[in-house]
Amino acid sequence: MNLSVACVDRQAGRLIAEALRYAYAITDRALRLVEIYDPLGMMCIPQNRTESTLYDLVPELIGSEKIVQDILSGTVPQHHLPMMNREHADQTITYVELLLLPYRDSTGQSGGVLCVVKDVTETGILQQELIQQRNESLLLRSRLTRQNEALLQANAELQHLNEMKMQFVSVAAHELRTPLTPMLGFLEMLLSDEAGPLNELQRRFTKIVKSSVDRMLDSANNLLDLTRLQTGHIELVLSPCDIGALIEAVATQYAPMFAAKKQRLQTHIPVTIPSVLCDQERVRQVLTNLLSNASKYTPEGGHIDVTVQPAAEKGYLQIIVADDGIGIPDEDQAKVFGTFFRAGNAGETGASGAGLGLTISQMLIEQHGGRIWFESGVNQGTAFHFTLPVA
Amino acid sequence: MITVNKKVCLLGDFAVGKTSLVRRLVYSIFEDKYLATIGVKVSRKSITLSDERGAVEMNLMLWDLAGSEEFTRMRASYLRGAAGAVLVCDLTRPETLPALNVYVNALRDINAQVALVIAANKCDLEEQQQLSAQEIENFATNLAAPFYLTSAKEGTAVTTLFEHLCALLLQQTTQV
Repeated sequence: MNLSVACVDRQAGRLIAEALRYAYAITDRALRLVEIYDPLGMMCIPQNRTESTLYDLVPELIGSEKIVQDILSGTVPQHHLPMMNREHADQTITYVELLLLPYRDSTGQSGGVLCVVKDVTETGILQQELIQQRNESLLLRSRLTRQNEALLQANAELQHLNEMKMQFVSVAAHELRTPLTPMLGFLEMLLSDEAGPLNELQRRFTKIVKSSVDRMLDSANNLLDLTRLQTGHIELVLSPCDIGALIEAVATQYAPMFAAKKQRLQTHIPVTIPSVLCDQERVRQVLTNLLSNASKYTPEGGHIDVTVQPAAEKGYLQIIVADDGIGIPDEDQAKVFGTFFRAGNAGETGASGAGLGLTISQMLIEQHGGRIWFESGVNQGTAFHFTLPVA
Repeated sequence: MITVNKKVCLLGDFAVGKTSLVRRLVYSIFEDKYLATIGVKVSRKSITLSDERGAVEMNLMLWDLAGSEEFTRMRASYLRGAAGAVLVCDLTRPETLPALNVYVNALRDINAQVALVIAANKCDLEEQQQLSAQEIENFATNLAAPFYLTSAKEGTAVTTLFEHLCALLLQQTTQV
């Protein structure tokens, strides 16, 4: 609204006011109403106009008396309020723009105040909708930022707790392992009769104790490996490796284990296969774990096959350890690589285990850049596959 | 009874609850739905106090102003003539407290003697609070303004806050 001339021809003024949705009022110097033109009913026109003042007409000006006086005295040229909300009894809102100017008569004398009101409801509603949407998205963004910060903080705390747990497990495993090594040594000495000949019963009992110490040592080693893998403290020593020879070596080492259960282990290794790039000791650990599992979960007289073949991914070899054992129930298959998980039917064969071997195997294979997976069905056997990069 | 008219502005970032405080004070109602204010909405509330002149009816014209950017664009014309202000921040949004400095500076540019009261609003949302009473107190001390932990939703301290502001405005009137 830009009215530079406050004194206008009244007839022309009324026409303009109606067309542009304006209303106006003129007061005398005592702010009594002299003239009102309000075709749209935007002002609060009192019953008794002669007794009324500008403040009755525009109640929003109550409390702003000083400004009105400044306009009357000419010290302030105008007072402009661009967007006034008016809430009606039916809760609808109209928006008006208000302008106060000194009123000068045709001789240029200051005679009162000219108050112009413009209905800007259409603009106001659009503006309100835009600002509403913008503010709501800002609020949402701010809420999400705070939630994100809280999650990051919670995550940092969890990580810290996890590190503490790992540290504890690592120290505990180490402390467990330390006395086991001499125990194992002395048991082996007893079994080799270095402390004199054992009778049959003593030998049987000693073997049972040694078997338990072996299991404890395995568990302690697995826990140590797990914590090292999870904290990134295992570094692979990669070198080209003849995987066929490695498989044969592990098979030979564990032949007594298969023989004890009358199981038949067969290897299927092509004559010419490329070397793989791996940490030989860690791949030996994976093979040992898979073969040990295959033997544990396959009944007496069962079959175990180890096969090497080119993988579907170019540049990889695939190693398969398959058995015809009890298999893994469907409901357990998604959790097989989880820490400390043992399938529901694992107890059927009387096999022991902490549920760490496959977790460690998966981490080791993935650290080599390969992958590990399996196929299984209850009483249909299990085939574990893993891949290693060709050297 | 003496009647005194005073213009009081409610200032603060968007969605801190300025409109809700006015509606609680004037109409004793609260609506959970956020409705952005644009420009200004003027409401009237009379509060009766007494001083050495006897009972005084303080006729407050409450100017509920749009927050944030809308305020920056139009603030001077809306603030002119304000005798007092309620500075509103949201206890669940920490950034709304330091943001009050912008409004205070704008207000004091126009009227250095303006009476101020701080409303730390939404105190009913206890679990979501990001501002402590100590932080509010420190901020209020710097401005030499009283502060209240308010809830427009539950009506906590709303009337008390405006009565305190009226008392400050009455002191100004008496001093003048």
